[in-house]
Amino acid sequence: MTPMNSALAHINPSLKLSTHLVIMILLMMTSDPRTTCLLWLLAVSTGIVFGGWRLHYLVKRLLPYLLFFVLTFWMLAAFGKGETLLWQWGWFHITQEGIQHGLTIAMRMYAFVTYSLLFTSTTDVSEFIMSLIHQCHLSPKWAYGLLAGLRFVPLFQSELQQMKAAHKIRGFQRKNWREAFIRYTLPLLTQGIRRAERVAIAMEARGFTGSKTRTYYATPQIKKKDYSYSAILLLFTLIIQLLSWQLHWLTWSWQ
Amino acid sequence: MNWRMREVVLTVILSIVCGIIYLGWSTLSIPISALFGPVGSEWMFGIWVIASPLVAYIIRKPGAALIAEVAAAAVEVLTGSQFGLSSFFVGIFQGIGSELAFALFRYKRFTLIPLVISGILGAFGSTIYDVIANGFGYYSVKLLLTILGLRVLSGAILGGYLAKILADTLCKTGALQAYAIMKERYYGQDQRDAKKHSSSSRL
Repeated sequence: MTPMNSALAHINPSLKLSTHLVIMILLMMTSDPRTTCLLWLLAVSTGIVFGGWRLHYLVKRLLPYLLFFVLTFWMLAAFGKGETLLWQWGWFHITQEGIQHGLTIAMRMYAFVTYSLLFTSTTDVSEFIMSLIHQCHLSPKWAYGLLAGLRFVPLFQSELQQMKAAHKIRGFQRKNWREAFIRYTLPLLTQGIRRAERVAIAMEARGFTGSKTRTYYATPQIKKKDYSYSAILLLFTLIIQLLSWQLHWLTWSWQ
Repeated sequence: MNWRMREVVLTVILSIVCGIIYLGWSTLSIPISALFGPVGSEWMFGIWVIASPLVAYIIRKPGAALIAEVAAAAVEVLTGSQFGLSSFFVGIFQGIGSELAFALFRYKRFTLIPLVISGILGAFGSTIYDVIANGFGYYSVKLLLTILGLRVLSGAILGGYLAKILADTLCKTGALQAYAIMKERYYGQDQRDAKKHSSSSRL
């Protein structure tokens, strides 16, 4: 089972996103590495049980961020404020409090990454945007504009490759970054703008007005199982928070 | 406020380009910040606010700055950013900051000064987010103020000023003829820019 046809992939994208955003806001309010770590584990286990994550997938997608995790930890540990000095060298200034804060923030960022992976790995982009129209009342004009625009990402890539090849065959050598900007970024942007105009005209020519009364091929709805996913995830979050409060781990960010 | 379809698609496309640039830029900045501390990479900050002034300068409509920054953040999320959904939050904070700058001028002036202020307020917005979520409050006050100062400077130059240069260069290619930026050059307040443009296009 892959993430894209797992149980999580059939959850309404808007509700899934807002549930994850609520948990992320909760993570921002929590300032304790142990609680944060438990909330991160919740994301990982949700991914394994409902999201179709396999071990090699987890390693491939989450391990690279470990470096980022270490760097964030290091930044706060070495440059953060604190009284209990442990080690000092050059401009690095490591304190007990710094390490504590570093662990919290690094863990929090790791949790952020995991919760967003839980969303992006199990959500189809066009389903997500359709759900934004129906559940979040995004105007169809913006929704279809966004869909058309996202199609440009791979196009930009192949265009850049083409441009590089064209320059190479003509023996162009890059001198400095200004030159590179004029040679690559400018044509890419101009092409993009021209294409934007063509896409817009094409859409309008086919009768697209962007009005909210249009009809849809498929109308995503929020069903019982969507609500139950959201409720169960939030319930677990609440249990974790209560548990760590019971164990006197929990401290809030503003304390 | 009625957006035409071509303006919608243009905003999305420019946001996508900016989102891709943001992604590359963050991969560059992380190693630098680890070595030299948070201060070391803050001069690079301005690029992350460029979407707002760039799009607002071209489209010149209320809401353009906020929408552009949020759309760029959404692209970052959908293409797999290091920061995931948190870049979405950053986008909202920065976008509101940048949007404020144009609102201050009642969406009547789109010259260098509002653009630079937009970059500066975007810097404020993202620093507020970093204090809330990324533990910037744990740095000493002196360090935090240094970070903010560097961001403001960088936001003004790499955000606002660079956005103007970029858009003006794009104007010269003639690709922006149909948008508010060129129309105001011919009929509106940007007479000085118009002269510059007409002389350069004659070249």
